[in-house]
Amino acid sequence: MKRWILIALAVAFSLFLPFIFKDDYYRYLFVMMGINIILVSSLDILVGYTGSISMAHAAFWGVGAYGSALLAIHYHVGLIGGLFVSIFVSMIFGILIGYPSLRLKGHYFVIVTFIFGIIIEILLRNLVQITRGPMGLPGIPPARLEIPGLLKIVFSSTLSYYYLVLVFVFIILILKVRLIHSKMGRALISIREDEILAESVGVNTAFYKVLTFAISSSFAGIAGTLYSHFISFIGPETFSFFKSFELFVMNLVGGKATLVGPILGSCALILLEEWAKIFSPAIARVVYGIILILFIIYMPLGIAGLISKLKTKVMGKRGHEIT
Amino acid sequence: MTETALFIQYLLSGLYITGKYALPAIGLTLIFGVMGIADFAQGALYMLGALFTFYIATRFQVNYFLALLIATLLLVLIGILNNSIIYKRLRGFEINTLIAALGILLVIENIVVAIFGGKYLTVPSPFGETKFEPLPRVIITAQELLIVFASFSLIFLVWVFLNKTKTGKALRAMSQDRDAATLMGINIDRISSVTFGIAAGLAGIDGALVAPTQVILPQMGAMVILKAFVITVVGGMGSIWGAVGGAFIIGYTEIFTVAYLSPAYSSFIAFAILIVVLLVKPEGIWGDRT
Repeated sequence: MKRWILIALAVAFSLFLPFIFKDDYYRYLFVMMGINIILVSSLDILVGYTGSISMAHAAFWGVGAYGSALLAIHYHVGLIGGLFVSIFVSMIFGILIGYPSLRLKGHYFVIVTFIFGIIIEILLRNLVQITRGPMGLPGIPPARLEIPGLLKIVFSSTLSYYYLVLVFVFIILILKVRLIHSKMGRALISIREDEILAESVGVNTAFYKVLTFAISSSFAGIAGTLYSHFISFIGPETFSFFKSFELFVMNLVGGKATLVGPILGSCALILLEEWAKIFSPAIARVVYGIILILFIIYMPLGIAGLISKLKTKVMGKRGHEIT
Repeated sequence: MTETALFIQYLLSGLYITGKYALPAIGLTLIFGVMGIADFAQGALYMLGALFTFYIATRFQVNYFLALLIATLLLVLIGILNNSIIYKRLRGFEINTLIAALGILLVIENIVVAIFGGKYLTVPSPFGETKFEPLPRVIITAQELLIVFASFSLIFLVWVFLNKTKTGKALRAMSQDRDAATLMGINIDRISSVTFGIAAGLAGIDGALVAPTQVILPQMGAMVILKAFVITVVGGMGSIWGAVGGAFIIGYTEIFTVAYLSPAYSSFIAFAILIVVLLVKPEGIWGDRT
């Protein structure tokens, strides 16, 4: 019961948030937080629950963003068409990287995802005929939701876009909870804990690992569509390795394998980044790196881990939750 | 005739690229063998090697070779500190060390951007513009020749150290079986300091050697360490000769891709080789352990 009250409060808070901070700059930040929450939550399914450390998540995001941006520019495809394409394209790339994961373990796997992310960036930079290379794609029209004869909405203001992103954040979070508490979620956790044991009790680890990649990357594709229509200009440097790394840090700082962790992590680090940008982007990255190192040494469970630790301290063992 | 001359030129330049990549690759392979850490922070140390050489040589007006020596010693120190401050606390969590290493790379690189960003940093070569022309229209500069000789003699020295000294043998024992070596009374802290010291020294001296041949950029370390990584995985993690062999493969691939295809795709081809090797023989071409 208490849980539902908390969720209702969080939903109400997120609905009223843009009216508490009326400035367009804050609303822009909220939209970016929403997009990052989608990205980090989907990454968490891979990193937190399955234990496959992927350093290519920004690449899936980028592929989705470019896919729907190109369609919107050249063929005037609306939001729904763009989403279908970005989900499909990102999923294909997710399977492409998920497949080698069956053969590689530990460092080797991390390095392959890492290099895969760099390959995608090189392609975005060098396939000039399609992506316009380093010049990027300008003039992406705002998202357009159109059902012929029924309704037509153009999300051109930051406020309307905030609610669009919010809807997708809720959809992704609900899907994530459903997924984790399903048979598949338990299979994923068993793979993380002991892959050989999981296989020996009949979990089809190969199938689930590739499927997780497909799901996680298609969520990243959704974030790509939302991002490209919102920002209206995309270039290859946004989807670089550094972004994959940043998403990973958000997940780590917030707390892996939790629902609130990715939300806390994305919001905290976006605020921190904005604050550090007052000095210079280089200083922002230094702060980022130091926070990462401190967290990985002293708080590998992140903010969410700290909260549940405090909760068990206050309430005794009853506050213990299954992750 | 020019075609042949050009081809020989590429073969010669490939040797210098190989030397340049082999040193950080050996450092990586040693650290991975002994500690099980994929230490991307070595890229930052490589960049610092070049930067310190620049700073010491121009600021204090000292000879290039002295600057190179001081820079290398400083980096050995930084490498050891890196291990004892950060990696030591993460022992046993191998993936976390990889993340921490990336964090260190990020921090050092961006501190340098904040201090030296946008400046045009170059070190003049001690040999000036001296060039050799062993064959008509085939040119190698004195600095490139120095890189070739220095790197191959360093590789030889590392090999001697590993095979002929007691510490070197302890290091190899540690990389074969960490637990058994510890049980035999080998001090893991001491060996890991030695390993990090050697690796950081190799990365630093490599940066110092390469400094006169190019503009010193804060980002120069990341790309080199990525190549070095590809090299160690292709050659076989934990094997010195694997690192040297891998450096030959990746060095020549790079030269010929740049020459006959397009510079834009040089890393692309190297990564393609890596992925093929990982899928066909994940322990690397010269690696024997799984």
